[in-house]
Amino acid sequence: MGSREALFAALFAALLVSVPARAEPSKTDPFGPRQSASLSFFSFFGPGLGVEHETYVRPPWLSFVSGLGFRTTGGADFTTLTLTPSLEGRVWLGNIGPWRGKDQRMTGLLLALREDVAWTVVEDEAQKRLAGTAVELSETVSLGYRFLIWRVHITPLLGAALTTQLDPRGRLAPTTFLSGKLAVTFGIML
Amino acid sequence: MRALLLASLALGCSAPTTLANVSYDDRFGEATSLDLFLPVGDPGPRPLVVFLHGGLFQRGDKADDRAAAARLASSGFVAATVNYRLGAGAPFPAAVHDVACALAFLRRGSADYGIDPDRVAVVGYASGAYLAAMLGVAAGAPDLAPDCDAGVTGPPAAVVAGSGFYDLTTLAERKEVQAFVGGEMEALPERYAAASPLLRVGPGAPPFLLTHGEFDFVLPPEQSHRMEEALASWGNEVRLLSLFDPGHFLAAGADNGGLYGGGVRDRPESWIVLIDFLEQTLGLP
Repeated sequence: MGSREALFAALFAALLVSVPARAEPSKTDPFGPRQSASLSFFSFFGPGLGVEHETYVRPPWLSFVSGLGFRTTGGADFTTLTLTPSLEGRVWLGNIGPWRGKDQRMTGLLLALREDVAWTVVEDEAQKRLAGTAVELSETVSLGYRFLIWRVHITPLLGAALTTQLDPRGRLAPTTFLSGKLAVTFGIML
Repeated sequence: MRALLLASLALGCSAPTTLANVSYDDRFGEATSLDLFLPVGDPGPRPLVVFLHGGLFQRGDKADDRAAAARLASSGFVAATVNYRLGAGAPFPAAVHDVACALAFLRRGSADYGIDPDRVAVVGYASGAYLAAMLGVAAGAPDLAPDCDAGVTGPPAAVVAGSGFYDLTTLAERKEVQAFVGGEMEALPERYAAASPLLRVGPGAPPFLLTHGEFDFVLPPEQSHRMEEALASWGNEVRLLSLFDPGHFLAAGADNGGLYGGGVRDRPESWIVLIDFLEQTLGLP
């Protein structure tokens, strides 16, 4: 097991042992655990990490997610670093309207609106100099489904992202483009 | 908020003027046409960036690079997106001839389009990267001299090649490569070697910037690693940006939480190294 995998395993184990007793669906709280901690599935395979914390702010229909991602994807003659704070609102479609079921927890079908602000810096390793920086603003609309087994959940999301790239040094004009997005998070209810 | 931010950053970045479907070789119709993106304002001369699309010589169109060309034109560069002949009816070296003709045509018309003919970069993706590399290492070579009216021209001042392939002898089992070269390698070994920019590398090549996703499932990243080694071994200036990404049609987002459509060329890292490389090799407009 490499150091990255060990880090993920340690993080996940720490999350598991930190789950308070009330994480079990409670008879006194029909909305179940109101907090969640997640890791990005795809960041597991790359040089970086994506973590999220979710709060059930308006049960049974609305939760908010705050996240932080970082990655160091560049290699060969360059090194790169990207930091990305994010905010996401999730409407739990399975808990409202005609689809409303007995389970009122943060599970089932959801609609998400997300904002990411990413800051990227690239160094030219050969010349030991800053190659440049970029800022990305992304709004994403996604449809997802949360599968919940005991306290562990996995949440695939499929959506469309509108992304604007900016060059703080002004060498490049801004650009905006639309792209499809697939995300999967896994974590535990706290 | 976003509109305000964009408006403030876009000051001085006016939308370019577009000249569509300019023919650079009348013999082949729209297959040998290009679109020009001209910045507004100062008539130049300005550096030129020529975009060559991908599609493994079977598909693709100059429109594929429209957004990138428009972005560079809005940043002050003259930009061009180029069609070239595709399919089994135009085997090697037809496409190489075409892009060499397009380069010669643009240099010959530099006064009309506000281009500095000495400050020209060629940017290609996938098979466009192959063609850009060919122009870098073999433009002006006698066996690749085109017979179009624009004549023969020398290599560009800089080459940017993303997710490309450079040694066809190692990809000879692929049907698209066989269609491009005009047969199987057993029958045409010399033609495969002649069609491989990696095997043509020598001293005096223009600066190269290579980019590739390390998990590119369409074209293996080893092609870019080997091209970098070949260029460097002859003392040429070369940089490689290797991205930990699937790369060709999918790329990890900056949020590190999702996979996005598009490729590594859309990623902010790719744009940063592109504009930095253009600044170093051509100078900013």
